[in-house]
Amino acid sequence: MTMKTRFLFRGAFAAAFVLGLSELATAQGQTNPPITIPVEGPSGMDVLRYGASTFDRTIAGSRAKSMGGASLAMDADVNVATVNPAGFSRLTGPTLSADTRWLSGGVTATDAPSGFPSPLGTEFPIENYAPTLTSNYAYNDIAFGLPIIFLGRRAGLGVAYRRLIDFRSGTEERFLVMSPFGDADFGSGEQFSGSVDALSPSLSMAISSRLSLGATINFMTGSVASKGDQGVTTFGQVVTEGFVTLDQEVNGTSVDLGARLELIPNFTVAGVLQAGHDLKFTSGKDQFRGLTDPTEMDPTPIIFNRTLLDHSLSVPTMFGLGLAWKTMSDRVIVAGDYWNRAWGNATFSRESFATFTIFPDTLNLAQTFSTVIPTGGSVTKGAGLKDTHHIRIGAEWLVKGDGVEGITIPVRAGFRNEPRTFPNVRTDRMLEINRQIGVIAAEGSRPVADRQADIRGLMDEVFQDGSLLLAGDEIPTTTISIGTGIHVDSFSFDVGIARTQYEYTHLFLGSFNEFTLSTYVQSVTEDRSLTEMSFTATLRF
Amino acid sequence: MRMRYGLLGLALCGLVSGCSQLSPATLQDLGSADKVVLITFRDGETLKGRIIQEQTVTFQTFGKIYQGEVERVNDKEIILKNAYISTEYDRYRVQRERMESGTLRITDAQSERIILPTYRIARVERVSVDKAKTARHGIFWAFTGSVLAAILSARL
Repeated sequence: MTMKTRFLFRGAFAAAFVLGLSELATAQGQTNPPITIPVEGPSGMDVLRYGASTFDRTIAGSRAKSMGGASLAMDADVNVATVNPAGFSRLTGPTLSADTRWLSGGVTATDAPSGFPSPLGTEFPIENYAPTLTSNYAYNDIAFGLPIIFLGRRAGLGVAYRRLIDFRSGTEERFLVMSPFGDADFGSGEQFSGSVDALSPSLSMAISSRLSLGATINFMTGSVASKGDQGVTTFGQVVTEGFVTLDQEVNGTSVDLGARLELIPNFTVAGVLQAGHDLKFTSGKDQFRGLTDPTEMDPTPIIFNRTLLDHSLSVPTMFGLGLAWKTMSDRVIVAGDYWNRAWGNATFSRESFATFTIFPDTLNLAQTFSTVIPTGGSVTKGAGLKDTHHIRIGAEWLVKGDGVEGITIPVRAGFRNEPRTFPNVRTDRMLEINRQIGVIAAEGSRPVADRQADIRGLMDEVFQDGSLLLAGDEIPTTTISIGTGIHVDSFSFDVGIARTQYEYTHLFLGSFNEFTLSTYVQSVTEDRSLTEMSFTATLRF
Repeated sequence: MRMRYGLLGLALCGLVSGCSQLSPATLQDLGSADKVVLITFRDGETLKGRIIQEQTVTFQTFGKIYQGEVERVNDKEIILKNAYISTEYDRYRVQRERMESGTLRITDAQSERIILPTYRIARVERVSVDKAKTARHGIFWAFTGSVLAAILSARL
């Protein structure tokens, strides 16, 4: 499938420009119903179907987000307690908190493809490549904590419904394809949605006046979905268009353990262990409709309905260490966290499969049609993810008005260094495979069967190790954050703004390219900056 | 639609719960149609409402909450008529049974009147809406309700 769609895709462009764009405008009004072809596919991890998402857990609460994410050793905050369950025993009263976030961003391409290669040997220049990031608003969590006496000791209960892994993101790109016959506007975009949410009951107990321990169970459910469109317009009319979608469910269960120790008055250390667990990605389906040939008067769209293999992602055991120091009559808190998240050890397991490749044209062995055939049994592979060890530093200054009793204005700032779980894309091995296929296809002196066997071997490598073939180096990110709020009596409302910057190299045209595993694989390098505004309301009863 | 009503109800409960405040008042505030007062008697009983004729008030004594109408107010006593028990609870069962068997009776079996001597008044406070607190609670519950609605719409 993949190689054939690849050539449909590129062939359409080449033919369109050669024949002249004026003919494109006449190729409108599709009436033929689409042909849907169901096929088996590899797992979502094999084909990088999760975009630029990160598997790391989100930071809970505007207070922590404003302080660079440093929060493990801080107290009296129900959001903090959802991350370090030992904090629930430090609550001073029943507390309910709700947390949301709004995400937007800007992007500048620093290295974009210069043109569309054509099977006819020509390459049409690309100009005005303009990527954008779309904004979105989503809930983060609702958390409730309750101090209790348990076995004669100070303790706390908590329950939170929280967004642990956030898939919501979106990109769009537009550019001009220049040809001797005129310009064509190409546009594509893909919006990811969904999340892995957890219902997390917690129990915490103060072992002594200084030491608290806590535990949380995370019952995780969720989904990841995407909807993408691509299209070409010329003279203001759409001449061809396509789409790509993804739907998949995710679930799992995990345990978090937390400890908090006041070493000396006003100086606290804390530790959290997030036990390793599996995230099960099930019921995955994606759908792809490539660009139809715009030179055909009434082309028949072909839609590939692909059933993805279930896979299980092993999430390594992770731990965090934090400290917090209060000074100036508790008006200033300085906090720092370190998180060790060894995503590099992550593996994924799925049913093993064989790659089935056919050659529609024995005179051109570079044209192939490949799909997968599950063979039973299980296979485990490296997930191609990167360690995301974090350093988070933040400070909070509580401004208490002299004349207004009961009102406190916090001023916060922070910094964090936080790589992303998914790496940059590297294209060298994929390009080398494609080059080898081209060379083998041209070896006219060798028997066809031998050459087909060699190409099948290369295609099997593409399908079996797709994610690893494209896995490049890590994506370091830096985040600067500030925040404030208002605390009056038992009510507080906090706002945080965090700006994250990173350089990211991904496949040109995103999932449209990922889906087809195109031989013309190209990459784009972008400078991205994400702005996240977070809002948290808290009420102590 | 049912979910929306539930959220609205939740928000309203939040708005009205705990958003009243008590401020000092005097006996002169009794008899005002504009002022809701809370009268606390020496033994802990309370009378709440607008203390003018024909207004419905709430009288809480040990284990019982009466609803009644103000029949008459003067310097010596506050008299309620048409009093009936709206709620009965057993936290003060022992005290209530002792009082009911004693000479001091709030009402007799036949009477629907309650006579409250003013010399027993320990404290008079005005009940008013704490606007700032109501606003804060309103913000909180509206925000929390929107987050809850977002979660439910995403997951149901």
